[in-house]
Amino acid sequence: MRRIGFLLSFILLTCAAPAPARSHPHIWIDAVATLVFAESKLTEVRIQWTFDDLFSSALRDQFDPNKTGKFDGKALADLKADAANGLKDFNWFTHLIVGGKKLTVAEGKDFSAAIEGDRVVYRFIVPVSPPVDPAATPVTLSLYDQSFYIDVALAKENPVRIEGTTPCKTKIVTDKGNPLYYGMFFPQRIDLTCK
Amino acid sequence: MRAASLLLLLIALLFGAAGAQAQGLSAPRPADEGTAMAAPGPIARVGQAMLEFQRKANAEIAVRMRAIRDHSSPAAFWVALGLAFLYGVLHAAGPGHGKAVVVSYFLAREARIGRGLRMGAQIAFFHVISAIVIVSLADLLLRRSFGGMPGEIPAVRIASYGAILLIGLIMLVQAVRRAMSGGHGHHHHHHHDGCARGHGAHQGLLAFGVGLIPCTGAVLVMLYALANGIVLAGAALVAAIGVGMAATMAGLGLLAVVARRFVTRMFARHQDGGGRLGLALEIGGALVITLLGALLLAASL
Repeated sequence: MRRIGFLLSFILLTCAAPAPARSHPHIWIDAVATLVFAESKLTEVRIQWTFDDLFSSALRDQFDPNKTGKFDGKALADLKADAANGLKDFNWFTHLIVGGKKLTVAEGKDFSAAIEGDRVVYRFIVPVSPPVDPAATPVTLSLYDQSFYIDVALAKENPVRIEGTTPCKTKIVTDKGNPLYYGMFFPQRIDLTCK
Repeated sequence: MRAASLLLLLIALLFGAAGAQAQGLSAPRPADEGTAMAAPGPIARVGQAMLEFQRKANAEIAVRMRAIRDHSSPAAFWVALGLAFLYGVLHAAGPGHGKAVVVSYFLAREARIGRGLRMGAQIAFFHVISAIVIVSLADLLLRRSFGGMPGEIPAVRIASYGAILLIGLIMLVQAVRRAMSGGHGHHHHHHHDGCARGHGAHQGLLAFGVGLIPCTGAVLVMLYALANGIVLAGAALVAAIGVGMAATMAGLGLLAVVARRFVTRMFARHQDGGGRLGLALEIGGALVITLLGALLLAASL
């Protein structure tokens, strides 16, 4: 009886422990990453995010109120500013590790926002400068929101693409070494193998 | 005996401190990465299943809402309702959502089981009303959705955290007064009219504070409904989310009531142990609520 009581109390305390309200996913992204090579070196990574239905609708409501099917003018500028502001502390969810060091992504280069079907799609570029030869320097890429307010997943079909010539192949693995969401979630990691 | 009371007090303070740190007072920094510990296998799997479910539920709800809009499927509404309910249950079980405040409240004072259930329901009620009212107002007045989420409108935050802080302070004052009068005062809580009314008002205000900031999920559903001209269906879905959350919150409130009773009974065997423990819990709980309210309010000003 005592033990049950203690167990109950313990469960209670752990379940009720305060936690960041932000950390619960409310927005979902399907992501596609394209690795761009020139002369066998990685020059940039192009990222594409497709937002879920509900959030896409909210974005369209706010930034395309006249339902033109496009984001433009001041609305587009506001959307970009909002996005940039929200993402700058989160590395734009793009964790590219080159030779053991993570690239800092302070802004999304060539950022664009489009409405495709009913969904909102963001695209941006992360330059790799100077270009890197993955055969010589290990390169891995993971896409996730550290705080898990947004659940970023690789798209179901063909989420990792290669542009340009390279002997390297991509492999998607589960990164057990990087637990997120209270240690319960392990993000996908894209590894480049060039043997 | 004293040690146990002090220990509980300490736990309560730790709660408050953890709450302060956790409540977005600091966004996760890149340095935090790689320092988290992996949860044990089964727990991790449960977490992942919950995440998977929420992703799917969110997508399915959108599909059903479109079907409702297009009148293309009579079953769509009921399926969406069921999904929304489940989503609410899981969502409230996840981090945040004022559970610490609710649990602290029920650990702090003797209460009947019914109160725990009612508290959960009240919070969910306020969540739902808040989502519907705030979103509809915004749509009406501003003809747009929120840049951030409603929780980020200063007035909403201030009202919410202000209410929590107020209740915490009231509880603290009561607890300290009781302590100073010798600690024997209200060991057995009889709900006279005055008492019951007082508690009811406290509980209501706390539920208001906790529930005022609407769940982002409910807001997004409401926005989608507004955008697609299915406002009533949207409100019903938001209500279903609320009922789901109420179920979870009530369950936790219940657990708190039972846990407190259990612990109190255990210590009641010691002479006046129950009284001291009751006091420790009361002060500890009030402290946690006050701390959480104060820190949240300070962060949002």
